[in-house]
Amino acid sequence: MTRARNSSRQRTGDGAVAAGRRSLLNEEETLRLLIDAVKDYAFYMLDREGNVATWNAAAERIEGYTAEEVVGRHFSMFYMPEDREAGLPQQALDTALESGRLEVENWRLRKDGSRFWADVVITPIRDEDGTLRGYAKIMRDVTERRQAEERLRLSEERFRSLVEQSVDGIVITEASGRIALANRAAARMFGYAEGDLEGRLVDELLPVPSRAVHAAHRTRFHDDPQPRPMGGGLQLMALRRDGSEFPVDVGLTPLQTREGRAVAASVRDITERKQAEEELSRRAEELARSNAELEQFAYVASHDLQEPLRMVSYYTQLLARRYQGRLDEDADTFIAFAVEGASHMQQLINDLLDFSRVGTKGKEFHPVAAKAAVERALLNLGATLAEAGAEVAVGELPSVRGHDAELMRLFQNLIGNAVKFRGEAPPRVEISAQREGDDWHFLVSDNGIGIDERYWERIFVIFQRLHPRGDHAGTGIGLALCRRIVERHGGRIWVESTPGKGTTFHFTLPAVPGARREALVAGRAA
Amino acid sequence: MVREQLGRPVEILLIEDNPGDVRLTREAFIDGKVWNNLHNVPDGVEALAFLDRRGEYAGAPRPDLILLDLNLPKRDGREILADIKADGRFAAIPVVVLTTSRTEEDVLRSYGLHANCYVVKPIDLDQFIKVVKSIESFWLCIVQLPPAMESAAGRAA
Repeated sequence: MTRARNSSRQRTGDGAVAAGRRSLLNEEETLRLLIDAVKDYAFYMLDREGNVATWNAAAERIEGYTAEEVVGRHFSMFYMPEDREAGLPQQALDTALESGRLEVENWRLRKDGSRFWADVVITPIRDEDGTLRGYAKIMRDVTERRQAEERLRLSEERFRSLVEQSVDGIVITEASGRIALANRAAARMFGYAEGDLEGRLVDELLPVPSRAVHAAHRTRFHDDPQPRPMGGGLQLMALRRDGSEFPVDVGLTPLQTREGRAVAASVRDITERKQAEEELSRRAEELARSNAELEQFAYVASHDLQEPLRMVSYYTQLLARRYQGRLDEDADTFIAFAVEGASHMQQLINDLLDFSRVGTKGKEFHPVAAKAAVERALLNLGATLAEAGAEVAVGELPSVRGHDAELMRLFQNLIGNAVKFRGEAPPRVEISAQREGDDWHFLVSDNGIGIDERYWERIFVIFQRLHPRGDHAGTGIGLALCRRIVERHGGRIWVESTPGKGTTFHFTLPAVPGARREALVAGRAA
Repeated sequence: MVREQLGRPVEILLIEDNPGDVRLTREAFIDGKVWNNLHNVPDGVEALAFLDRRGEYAGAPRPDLILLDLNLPKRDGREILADIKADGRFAAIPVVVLTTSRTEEDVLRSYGLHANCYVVKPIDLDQFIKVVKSIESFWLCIVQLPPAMESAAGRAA
């Protein structure tokens, strides 16, 4: 309390001193002091001709000239040469005289030749009788403001051109739901004239049933404004002016404007993409269905064909057994053909059944040691290999992702094929693998009769055989089955061969994810 | 030998709709060394009537062994298998599934339904006869059949 009273007394004391000083100065001097104290405003007087009469400290700071250097000189010295030549200084005085006041902005020169953007007010000064005495000029350096404005203008221009050039429709909506800005693409997309969208409610762009939901979403968006896709993965529909609807993708970006919060929505018409997607999924469905039907057909056909065929087979055999030599020679021959035909058909049906079973559901992929699959295949082929005197060299093989029985079948068919189509020399088969990206590339090479390049594709087609029956027994399904197995595993199979020298079958299988070198070790251990 | 143990022929029920198969099976059993009666029913409905001794099967014996084809008209083999194994009176009777189906699913399902064994009918005649004879010698000569079966049979008779 005491201190407060003290300070208040002190202030009163200061006031008393100031009042005393003021009394010592005349009015003109007070004005001059005041003018000199003004820092940001250059203040100077011109005589009637436009020569500088007075010059304050701010004027000196802004223009760079001292009072001695400018008093008495014509004020046009502060103008840019081109403005001077154009007669701007005199025009300024004339205008000020006519209108009583002139405010302009333009470039001015400093003493050092640099320029600055000046905001100038010129006011004519008159006597009581109206005679012109001169002019008062107040000038401010507003270069920085001008630069800021320029930057803003450029950035706005860039923004506008970006928005305008955008292929996507862009609609900026205020929190109230009113459209503040929409680009040409948006207008076109929604069927409005350019500029016609601004001021409308954004609801007009939505199908009626979704408007209520949208209002709730808008509120939520403004509560937590984060850039996000609209609709959370749901199919969004938009409404054209003519009442038609179309599917859209919408990205939302919050904006803070002087008028408050807004949201920029970039809208993409995805009608075509949607149609393409639907077409694609329709075709995929059709394909899957037709594949499933085909598999079902092959399975049922071969399965149901077994019964009657078995009867033909049994009873022709029984006929042969009981009546061999008891009818005549022709009868024996005919019966033999029937028995053989039934047996061959049985073989075909079994193969077809196998073929249709590859890749049927319920067979999951696991890491399979290829070496183990090869060894089981070799076990199954034991008699055939021994009979042919075949030698099979198995290199280091990795683990792959697959179905073990199918992979065993793959190796069995390829090795069996190599031995079946052997040349003069004892058959020798080599099996190896090398890593290629995410896959393993397997090679099964032999020294057999080889395959002419013409047939490199055909051999993989079901029931295609290159050799007459009898030369090389078989139904022509082995390699088709190999291809089906490899392709079901996501791999590729092809052949390279030199007739008379040998054949190499190549195929790829997916590596076990995360296993690189370890795979080889696992293969060796197996 | 079973024949001596039982003092009566072994009763075999063949549930099979294909007369060709029935004839061949019958021929194989006629050649066999076991004194047997082979009864045949063509479908599941008849099979259950036989077991229950309903209608024309009122005087039917209780089978010692059932040979079951999977693909049958009306009630199919899998359902009959389930019915037999679910019925306390018949669950102990060995059921041999004889079928053309090599499908993994059929094999697993049959054993899942407590089939006593699963045999694929071979395509070759000699093989077929061999298989039937093997069934005969394994189930009727080698295997010790459950005593409950005999007493149940005795009671039923």
